[in-house]
This record gives sequence, C-alpha cells and structure tokens, in this order.
Amino acid sequence: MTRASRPGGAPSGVAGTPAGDTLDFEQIYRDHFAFVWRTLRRLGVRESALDDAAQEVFLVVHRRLDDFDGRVALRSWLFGVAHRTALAQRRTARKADAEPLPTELRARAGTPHDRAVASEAVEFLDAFLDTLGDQQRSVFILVELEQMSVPEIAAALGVKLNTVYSRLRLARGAFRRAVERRNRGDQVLTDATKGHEDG
Amino acid sequence: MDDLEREMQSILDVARQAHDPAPDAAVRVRRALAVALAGAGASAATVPAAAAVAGGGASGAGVGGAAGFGSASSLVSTIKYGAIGLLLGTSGIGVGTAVYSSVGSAARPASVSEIATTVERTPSRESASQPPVADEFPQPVQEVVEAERQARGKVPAAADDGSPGATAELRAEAQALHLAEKYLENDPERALVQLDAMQRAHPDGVLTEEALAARVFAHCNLGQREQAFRAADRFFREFPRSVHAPRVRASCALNTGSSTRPATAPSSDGSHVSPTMDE
Repeated sequence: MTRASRPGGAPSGVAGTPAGDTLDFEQIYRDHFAFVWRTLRRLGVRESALDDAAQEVFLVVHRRLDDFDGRVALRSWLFGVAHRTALAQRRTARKADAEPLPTELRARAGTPHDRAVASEAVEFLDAFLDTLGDQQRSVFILVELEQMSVPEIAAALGVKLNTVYSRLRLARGAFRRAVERRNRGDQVLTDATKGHEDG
Repeated sequence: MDDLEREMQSILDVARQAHDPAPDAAVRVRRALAVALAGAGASAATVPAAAAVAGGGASGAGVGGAAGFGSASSLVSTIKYGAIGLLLGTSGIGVGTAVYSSVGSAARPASVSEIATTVERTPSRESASQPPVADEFPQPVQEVVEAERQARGKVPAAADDGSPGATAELRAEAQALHLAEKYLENDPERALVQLDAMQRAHPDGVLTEEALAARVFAHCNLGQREQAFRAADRFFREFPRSVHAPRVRASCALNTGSSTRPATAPSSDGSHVSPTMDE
C-alpha cells in the first residue's frame, strides 16, 4: 500500500521550497500523474478538459497533502479527488456548449473501415463506460481497469464492501450484455442502461 | 471461461493499456501547475525554475516556451506567429479569437492552455524588431535535418534564455516546418518525411502544435483519411485549444464531406505575421 509521507511544513510553492515539501509532492506527481489522467478520462472528462482537470486534481492534492493521513491508500485518495474533479468538470461541461470533437471522433472511429482492433476495443469500452451510472462506473474502473482490491475501493469511495460487490456485479452484467449486443451488431449507446444504479 | 468471458477480458486487457497520457502531458500540466502554485505575486524567476523541474529532460525549446517570459519569448512568438501564418495561409486569422485571462490573476489558477497560450502568444516589445525567420531557409531536406541535428547537439537541455544555442534550435525548427509546409501542396509525402525528421530532431519543439496540424493536412492531401484522423486525434489530445483546431476540424480528418486541402502554399506575407496582431 502506497502511503505518502506528510510534508514537514505547510504546503508551499513547488519551486524554491524546502526539499522536504517539494519531494513529497513531486514524488506523488511523478508516480501518479498517469493514474490521475487515466482516471479522469475513464470518468468521462473530455479530451479538451483533461489538462485543466489534471491540474485541478494536483492543486487539491498539493493543498490537502497535510490532511492525508494514510488511512486509505494514496491511490484511493487520489481517485477520490479525481472523481470529485471529474464530476464537477462534467457538470460544467454540460452547461457549456457541447464540444463537438469527442462525438466526431467517436462517430469517425465507429465507421467500419480499417479500424485497428485495439482502438476499437478502447472506443467500445469508452462508449460502454458512458452508459454506466457514476457509482457503477467508478467501481468498474477501479476493479477491472486499475485492478484495485475491493476493500481498497470501499475505503476510497467510503462505502461498505457489499455495496462495492453489488455495484461491481451490476456493472459486469452490463458489460457482458454490452459485449453480447456488440457481437449481434447492436449499438451500445442505443441500448444504454445509464441511470440504473443501486444507490 | 466461455468465449464471451474471454472477449470481455480481451477488451479489458487492451483498455488497461490505453488512456495513458501523451508523453508531454505531465510536463505540460506540471508547468501550468507551477505557475498556479506560484500565485499571482510570484516572481517571474520562480516560473522558469518550476518549468525546468517540470521539463526534466525535455529539450530546451519545449521548456523555453514556458520559461521564457522574458528573453526567449519574443523569438518564440515570432516563429509561432510565422508558423500560424504559414498554416493558415493568412495573416494570423484566429489568433485573437480566444480570450484568455491573465496568468497573473489571483482569482483562480490559470488553466494549462491559458498559460501556454499566454506565453506563446504574448508579444514583447522587441518582437517587432525580430527578423522574420520562416521564409529564409529554402534548403534541401538533408541539409535542414543536419542543421537541426547540429543545433540540437549544441543546445543545453535548459537553454531557454534566448542564448545563441536556443535561438539556433528555434530557427532550425522553423526551417524544418517551413520546408514541410512548402511540400504540403505538391508533394505531401515528402512533407510527411520532413515532418518526421522534424519530430525526431525536436521532440519537444515549440512548433509541435503546427507540425501536428500540418501532418493532418498532409494526410488529407494524400487522400489518407484514416491516417489524417489519427493525426487529428493526436493533435487534439495534445493541443485541444489550438488556434489551428477549426482548420483541422474542417479537414478531411473529421469532416467526411471535406476534400479540404487546407495547407495551400503560404501567402507571401503569411510568414511575416507581426507578433502584435493577437488582438
């Protein structure tokens, strides 16, 4: 289990600060930037907003590093921060004019000619994740993609173990049906189960 | 495990490897983060230091884009604007269309793209006196590539201070882009070769944004829509708010009805766009 050591003093600027402060944050940034980025993407943050969302996550991390007490794994904590950031970003995005690019890309990637199998799989999974409600989506990402343990996830999300298992079961079922539909030639997005949550 | 289970696992296996950030994303975000954390009152000296930390082993030109609030920014601006003019074939259309807040604003942290744009677009007084650079180098490919290699070899990793080394690298990069632009219309395949060479020589170059856009146009001009799409995908991942975005969107990459050949020969004044024309 990863645990960040607490910085010796108050959070401070990155450059020109005592090494103790800088090292902890820098270490977290180096080790977990990709995780945060992947998480934001998988939680539905649009491409064009990823830079800003990632920046926001690490601003919060920098500000709150003193509060991190190690009771949950660092990655779980980071996921929580990224999750809140993603939700806020998506709320903002819904209010703003829809940006055409992701749809265009998805539509383009969905055309039949000459698709690479790998990119097709990723596109399919992205589309599937979009059909999940937020709670199932989080669990599915953490278990199936980040391969975190259920107890870790329960701690990260602040829910009971059984709740995680329940959400995971529902999400896996939805994924199975989505793959079946794909094999039948159906469109995942036209048979969405979004909004079906276990609460 | 039945076939369906195997298929599900296969999709998940692929997806686990996907969604990673582009190689420069961590540097880009770190750079903006450094500025945001430095706050409104931070001295300019803090920012280059932080950017240097963020840049790590990145080449000087890439880091210089952020660090050069002072000296190097004028040349960067000149080259960037020249490149914009080349790509658009106009005098900087779209450069002033986006409104960006000040980096120094204390109200909220500046966004990544705001910082990048401010740094790259902010004209400085001495910019006007910089000679245009993009039109000066009608050299053969090998010569240009060799010049890039040499320049790159001489430039220290953190040379972002307008030193001769940094200047040489920027100019070499501009040369390479200019050459690619020249081939776009009549020999797009050669343009791609040139862009490949440019990318190898300047993996973190100041003109990466323009080079990626040019790559989309080159593929379109070759009728390679799938490759154009992939190039556009990368372009938008790395530069989602680029001034070239409308042009790329309108290209064959994302517009199936388009037969756009966007990067036609640059207008005669396209490479001489004044850095002060961003308003």
